[in-house]
Amino acid sequence: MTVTLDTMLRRDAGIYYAAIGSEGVMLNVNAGLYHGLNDVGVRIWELLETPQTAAQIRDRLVDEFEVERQVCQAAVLDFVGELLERGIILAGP
Amino acid sequence: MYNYRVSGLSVISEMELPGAIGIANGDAPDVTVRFGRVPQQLSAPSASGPAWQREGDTILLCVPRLARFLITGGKSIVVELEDAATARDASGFVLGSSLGILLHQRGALVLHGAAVARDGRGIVICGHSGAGKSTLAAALCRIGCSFVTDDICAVSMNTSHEPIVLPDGRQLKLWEQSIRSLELGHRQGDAVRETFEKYFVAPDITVSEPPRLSAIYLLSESQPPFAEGIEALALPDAVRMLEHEAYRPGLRRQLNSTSQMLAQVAATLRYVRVFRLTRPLGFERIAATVDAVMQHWQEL
Repeated sequence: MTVTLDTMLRRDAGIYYAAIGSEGVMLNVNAGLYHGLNDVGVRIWELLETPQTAAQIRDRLVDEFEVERQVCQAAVLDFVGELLERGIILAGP
Repeated sequence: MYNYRVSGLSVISEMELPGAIGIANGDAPDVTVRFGRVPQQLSAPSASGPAWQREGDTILLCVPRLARFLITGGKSIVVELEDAATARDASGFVLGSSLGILLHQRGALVLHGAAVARDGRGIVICGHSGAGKSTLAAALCRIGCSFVTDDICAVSMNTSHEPIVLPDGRQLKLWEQSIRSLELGHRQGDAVRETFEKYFVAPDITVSEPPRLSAIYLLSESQPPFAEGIEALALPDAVRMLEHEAYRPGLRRQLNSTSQMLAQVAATLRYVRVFRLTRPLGFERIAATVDAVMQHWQEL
């Protein structure tokens, strides 16, 4: 599915996560795959502890990181799209 | 009764455990090893494999024609020998599989690897059986490293939460061909088991204090797609590799939850990087491999 700014996003319960320094590693037990996260990815994963929309994530990141709103929005949509594709997060209420 | 210190644990044993290094009689042992009745099967196993069954905090391990082992709660190993078997034959499975399972029960990160140390810093060498872990560890000890552990490598945390490698208090096990190539013949001891041509070799120097773990090397043979050299693994690959290189990974998955495993591995990887060490198999090039490892390790 296509992610829009209003798509509600939440973590999949089958994902295990550990922080290692400023990076993070996720294990998708269903797929048997490991994924790495950089510091911004880690922050997005942390934010998704509470289900929220891509727009809400963008707003938080714009506050916390030095990044232009438009650039941030495109990157967030890209990133959450990839997480959805890999079954790491789920869309919908 | 015999008293040993193995992988940081004090062990009191009715059975002599050749290869383990004895200690003075301690007050409260962490682990007891005794002879006793061990069932052929557990009454209601929740999981099982080819040679083991699990029920609650107990694992039954069966080695056909040799012995059965009941390993409980990370504290107790009970051994029942089969008719024709000797305690000496079974002792290898107490120090090997049984202790590895017990360490998993205690929640340690247990890798299948050899470890050496220098100046209080340790490295672990992992790789599949026959990859040359013990041989490389022995070669590193020949140039002044001290021996920490062979085969079962338990990683724990010190009081500053830094990962340390627990000395298994045992002697290095080497295949006969390796002993000849490394000219260690004068230090060759008894055969580990009569049927196996792997011998205990008394290391030159063993460590008493657990060294801080500074790197983990995964041995791989230089065949395409891997060229000779040492390369750092990306974090997700390092996590996957540490899970894969756990001692008896199938059994470990039964004993530790996924989140426990990931937490153990993550705690280790906060301080330690994992490298793939690709080199030709065989003894001709061992000196070059040793040089490469020493240089790489010192620059970390």
